Order: sequence, then structure tokens, then C-alpha cells
Amino acid sequence: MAHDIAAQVRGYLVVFGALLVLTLATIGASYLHLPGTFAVATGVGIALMKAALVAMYFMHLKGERPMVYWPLGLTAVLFISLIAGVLMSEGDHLLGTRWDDAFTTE
Amino acid sequence: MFFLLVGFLLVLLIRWQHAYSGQPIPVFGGWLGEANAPGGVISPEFYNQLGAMHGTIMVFLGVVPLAFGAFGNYLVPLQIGAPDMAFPRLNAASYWLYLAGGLVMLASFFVPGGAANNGWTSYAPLSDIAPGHGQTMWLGGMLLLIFSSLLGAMNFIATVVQLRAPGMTWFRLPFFVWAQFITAFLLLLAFPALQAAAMLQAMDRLAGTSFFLPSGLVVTGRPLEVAGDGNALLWQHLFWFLGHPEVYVLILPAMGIVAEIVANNTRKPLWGYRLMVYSIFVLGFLSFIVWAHHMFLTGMGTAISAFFQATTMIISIPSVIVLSSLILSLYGGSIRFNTPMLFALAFMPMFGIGGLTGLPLGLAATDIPLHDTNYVVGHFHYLVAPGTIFALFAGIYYWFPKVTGRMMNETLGRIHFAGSLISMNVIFLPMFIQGLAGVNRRLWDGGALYSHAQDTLSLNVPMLYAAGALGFFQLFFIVNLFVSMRSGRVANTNPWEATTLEWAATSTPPRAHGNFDQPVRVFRDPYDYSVPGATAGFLPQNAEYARSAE
Amino acid sequence: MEIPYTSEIRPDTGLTNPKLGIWLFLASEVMLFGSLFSSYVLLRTGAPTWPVQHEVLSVPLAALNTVVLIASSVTMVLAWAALAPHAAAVRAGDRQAAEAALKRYRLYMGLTLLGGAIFLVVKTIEYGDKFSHALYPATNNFLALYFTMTGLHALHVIAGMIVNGYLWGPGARMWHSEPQRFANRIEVAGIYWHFVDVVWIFLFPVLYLL
Repeated sequence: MAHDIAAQVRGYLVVFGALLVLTLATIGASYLHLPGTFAVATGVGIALMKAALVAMYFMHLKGERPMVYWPLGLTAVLFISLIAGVLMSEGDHLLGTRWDDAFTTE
Repeated sequence: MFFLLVGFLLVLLIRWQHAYSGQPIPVFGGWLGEANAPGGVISPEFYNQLGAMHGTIMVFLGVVPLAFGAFGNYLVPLQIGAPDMAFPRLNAASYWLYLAGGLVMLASFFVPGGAANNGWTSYAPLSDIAPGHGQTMWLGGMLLLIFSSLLGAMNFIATVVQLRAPGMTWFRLPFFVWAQFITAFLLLLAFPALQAAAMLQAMDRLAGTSFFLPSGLVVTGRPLEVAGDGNALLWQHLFWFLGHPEVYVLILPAMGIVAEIVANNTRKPLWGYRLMVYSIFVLGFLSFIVWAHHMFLTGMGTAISAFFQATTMIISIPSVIVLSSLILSLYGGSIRFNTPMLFALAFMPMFGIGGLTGLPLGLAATDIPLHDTNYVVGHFHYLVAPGTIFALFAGIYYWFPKVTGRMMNETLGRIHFAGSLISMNVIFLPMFIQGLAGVNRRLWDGGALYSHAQDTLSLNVPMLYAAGALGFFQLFFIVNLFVSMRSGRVANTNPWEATTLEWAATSTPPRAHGNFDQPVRVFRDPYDYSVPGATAGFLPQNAEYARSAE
Repeated sequence: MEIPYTSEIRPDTGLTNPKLGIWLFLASEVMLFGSLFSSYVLLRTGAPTWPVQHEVLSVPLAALNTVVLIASSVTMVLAWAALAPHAAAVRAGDRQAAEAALKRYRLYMGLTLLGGAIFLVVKTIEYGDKFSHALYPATNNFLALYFTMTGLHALHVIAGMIVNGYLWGPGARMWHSEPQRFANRIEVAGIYWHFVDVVWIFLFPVLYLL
């Protein structure tokens, strides 16, 4: 029993370490002044990794029940739909928003 | 229900203004006050308040709380065999938030400048810059109401998942419970978008931000002094991201109620129960990705418009499946034409008309001439008024004996039904004609200045009298409700001989604490009527053997 | 009849009511902050000009806040871990174990509260600094989004601290009467607190670094 607790606590501290490393990474990446899309991808990507660590280990989402996974999965899909739907409706020059733009090359 | 009445009274004023634009209202005109109606004539500003608040009150303070909050909270625990909702204190909080939101909305009529007057949709930039406190109070009221709904939605989902009685498997749930379950998910995941939007608009109105204000906006001759670079369409996207699932929130509980009453009064199981369940899952999911069909005229790219058009067409399929299943459930049934069944039966063609008239609106090309006309108003009112509200009436007549231990009067019920059905059709059918002629919605003069639509404007007069008649026939219902509570015919525990748990295992009226006298165990499907080989015409869900329970 | 599964797990779903409830609530919160993020995306991509975010805001302060909040998440989960393994023993009447666990719990929960407080203090310093340079929400859309999104986040931090404060103080009495239920409460409160951390994990790069 004591081993389990100690192991669990060790696990949390390892995750903490990883989160600190990733925080440094994301700050460091910002100094590289990457071009637009890459900067976004890196920043959001690292943030996703950090969020996943917090969710899986601190929030005990790893090994949780399907009854929790399904609503969260649905939420993720709808979140993406909202951002994509808004962006593609208003972003006049994004790929795929107009038939003619999508199929002409210049 | 009180709020439904308030919303209805507001619209009576609107109908007067359309029919007799510019003329003072007899008798009541003076009651509205000089600010709103100088000389008894409704001013354009007040007219806009009536329009915006009628919609807001009916949808957010009337139908959703009644269909989801009241019917749901009362029946879902009973129908699944649970002692209560999963989180009783959260439930109480949800109610008080609703009441607070409602009071804020009503109070907004009495501030200088009056209530919100920018449509129930509160489009930016007008709603951002509208003077007075009415619109800001609308935002505050909405924040309270949305929080109330979110807490309620969590409660419903947790209750249905966790508190089903032993033996109550997923596919033994009454269809009403499934409908409420899906509705709860829609509320949970769609409302936050309007919550966010309302916060952003509040920031615009109170903190001087320009989330929804583009640059270079000129108001009454003077350029607006804000930072600009905002996007008015952002409001529309966030609003309709909620707004579309919201209309399915309005119709799903109604479908659930109709299903229960149809199964009971045909004395046979629902046709296609499983199909209906799968359909509302699909319906629920699709409802999140159709929203921009409210925005076909905002200048979106053709490809993205085509996407939303496609999803809108596809979403009609599960709706049709549900309606068809309800209609097919009648075939071969031994139909009892009591008052709840009359309303449930009328729901079907009315919902059909509402749905069919939506098709030209969902197709981007045909939406161009129809957008924002009275055609749209007719379309959605057919779905909500002789649709949802009829289902709610059906539910009240049906479950009244459960709540009070007495029956409502059948004769008064039939008069209420016939009068409502006819007057609703006289009110809403002409709207399609006016809309096709090009009459815009939300017009103070009811379209009087449209030379091309003059022929259709005379329809405003019978619409007004039909609206008055509709109000008159509700008196039969109100009187019936209150008198029957005291002196209606006393009912036994299961006057409709129904199978679902709320009738089978509880006393009438229900006990003060806990729903059931003893722990419930479920053995049967939800609609075991006329089971071949059984000794009784119906078998309650908690009846273990194929003979009648005591 | 009592409401079942408030602290025991329902066999077929494997969940307690509060555990399911908090995840449902967080799903709606994801949509709420998600709507604000989508507003950010739209307004920024549609804007002709946009300030250089890390020149307007203080990255060092925000980095500090990020570390502080993550640390408070760790202490929060350690607070739960201090209680959960001992719940059975407390139920059985082991007073010594109860007291020891409670002390350790109070330490970690206290650190969590401290972390939240530091976060809010730093935020106040940040806001104050902006106001003193006449940088308000109304100044431009970036600042409007910054104040709105971090402001809403800060409100969630405050709400979390109120709950955690109650559970540190008077709420902890439940540890002696219903230890398992109390431990579950800490877990559920923790899940909420971690979510507040996750939102900041996204706010930091989006508002400060990009």
C-alpha cells in the first residue's frame, strides 16, 4: 500500500517535471521567431501536450470510463467544428471556401 | 406557463399594430404609458421591444423551462425509477437562477428606454450601440438563464446515466427520457457559445470594446469612437451555434411527450422505437453543424454555404423518421380520442407543415428571397406553436392526474383543442403567403409601405382576430386547470392504463419524499401494450410476469 | 430513499454521480472558453494590424504564473493522494491515521490555495501595469480579448479558491464522518482546479507568445 502511494506521488512529480520542461520549451520556441503557421503549430502543439499530461495524470483521465470519454470526445469534435466553421465562413480567402478559389491555381 | 402567457400578451399587441397600424388601441392603449404608446398608438421603438421580448420570453422563459425544466424534472426520475434527480441542490440553484433571469427580463420593460428591442437574436452592431439599459439587462438575464440551463443539463445527464433502477436498461427507457437526454446534451454543449457571446457584447456595451464593431461605423451622423476592427458576423456565428441546437431543444421534448401519449392511446408499442432513438442521436449531433443556414445572406463563400446547405438537408432525414414513426404507430392501433391524444394527433401534421416549409429555407438559393420575411416567421411558429406547445398541452392534460390525483374536464379540453387548432392555423398560414409576396418580418407597419405586397396585407386583419380568438380559447384551458385541481373527477393511480413507471409504481398524488414506496425493479420494455398471450391489455414495466400487476 | 451512487461507484458505468457531473460541467466549460478562443482566431485573422503581443504583455510574469499554477495543480493532486489511500482505515476507526492524513492534506491544499493567491496577485500587478499605461480593454481588440479571456479565467480561479478554501476549512469535517465521500470531493474539486490550469496552459502561448 505504501509502495503504491509512493509510486503514485513519484508519478505526479515526474509529470510536474515534464510540464516544467515543456513550459521552458514553449517560451524558448517563441524566441526562435518562427514564421506564422509554424509558430502557431508549435505553440498550440506544446500546449496540447501539456494539457494532455495534466488531463491524463492529474485529472485521472487515463483509464477512465467510456461514459466520460464519449461526452469529452463529442466536445472535442464540436470545439473543432466551431472554430473551423467560423473561420471558413468568414475567411474569404482560405482554401476551400469558394468553389472558384479552390479549383484555380495561380 | 406564466411566462408563456406574458409572451402571448406581447404578441397580441404586435398583431394589433400590424392589422391597424398607426391607430390607437381601444381601451388598453392608455395603459401602456405615453413613452411607449403616445396617444394609445404603439411607437416603433415599443413595437421593437414587443418583438424582441416576445421571442426571448417565449423561447427562454416559456418553452424551454416548461418542456425541459418542468416536465423533465418531474417525469424523468419517475420514468427511470429514481428517487430524485442526481443533484437536488444543483436543481434548486438552477430554478432560482431561472427566476432571477426572468425577473431581470421583465424588469427591463420599466427602465428608461424600455426593454431590449433588437430582435430575440440581438444582432450586432445594432445591439452593441442600442441606447438605454434594456439590451444590457437582456444580456444579464441571458447569462443567468444560460447558467440555469447548464446546471439543469448536467443534472439530467447524470441522472439518466447513473440513477436508472435495476433492470432499466438503455433500450427499456421510455422515448421521452431519451428525448430529454439528447436535449440535455444540446443545452450543455451549445449554450456556452451564447454565454461567451453575451459576455463579449456586454464588454462592448459596458467597457467600450469593439468585438462586434467594425471600423468606420457612423451612428446618427457621427463616427463611432471605438477601436474598431471588430466583426459583427462573429456575433451571428456564436449566436446561431447555440440558436440552431436551441430549436431542437424546443422540439425534442415535444416529440418525447407525443410519443408517450401515442403509445398509450393506441394500446400498442411505438413503431420503430429503436429507429427513433438512433435518429435523435443523429439529429442531436447534426444540429451542431448546420448553424450557418441562418446566415446564407451574409456573404459566405459558396463552398462553405454548400456545406451548411448539405448538412441542413441531411438533418431533415432523422426528423422525418421520427415523424413517420409516430404516424406509423397509429396504424393498427385501438385509438382513444381523449384530449391529450387530440393534441398529440394534431402535432403530427402541424409539425409536418413546419418541417416541410423549412426546406426552401435550408436551400441557399431559395432562401435568398425568403430570408427575414414572414415566411420564416410562419415556418418556425408552425413548429413551436401547433407543434411544441400543442405537445406541452397534451402533456399537461395527460400527466395532470399524476400530479393532482384528479382528471381535467374532457369537454373543456376538446373546446380548447378545437379553438386553438383553428385559430393557430388562421394566424400562421397567411404568413407564408405574405412572406412569399416579400413582406419582411419585424416591420412596425406590417408591410404597409410595400407596394408589391398590398394584396396580402389585408390578411393582417383576420390574423389579429384569430390571435384574439386563440387567447380566448386559452381561457377554457386556464379555467379547466384551476377548477379541476379542486374538483375534477378523482383519478386512480393509473387512469390512462399506461405501462411506464411513473404510473405503475407510485401513489397519486406523489409522496412528499422519495418517488417510490418500495425500490423499483424493471422487467419489461416501455410499451408492452396488448402483448399476445398476456392476460391484461397492458403490462407495466415493473410487472414481472405476463399477467396484470396488482 | 437516499440517492444512490453519490459516493459508491455504480457497477455498470464505473462512476460516481459527482465524477460524471464534474466532467459534464467541464465539457460545457471547454465550449465556453472554446468560443472565446474561436473569437480570438477570427478577430486576429481578420484584423489588418495586430500588436506584437509579447511586447505589450509581460512574458516573464506570465511564465511565473504558468509555473505557479502548474505547481498548484501538483499540490492539489498530492492533497487528494494524502487522503484517498487512508479512507478505508478512517472508516474502520483509525484515529491516528485520520489525523496524520488530514495534516498532510491541509499542507498540500494550503499550498494549492497559496498558488492560487500568488497567481491572482501577479494578475493584479499585470492589470494594474496595463491600466497605468492607459491600456484598457477598449484600446484595441487584442487587449479586449486579453482582458476578457484572462478575466474570465481569473473568475474561475477565484471560484475554485472559494471551493478549495471551504474544503480546507469547515468542509474538512466530513473527513471524520464520511472519509471516502470527502476524498472523492477533493478529487472532484481537483479535476476542476486542473481544468483551470489547462485553460491557462492554452492562454499563455496564445495571448503572450504568438
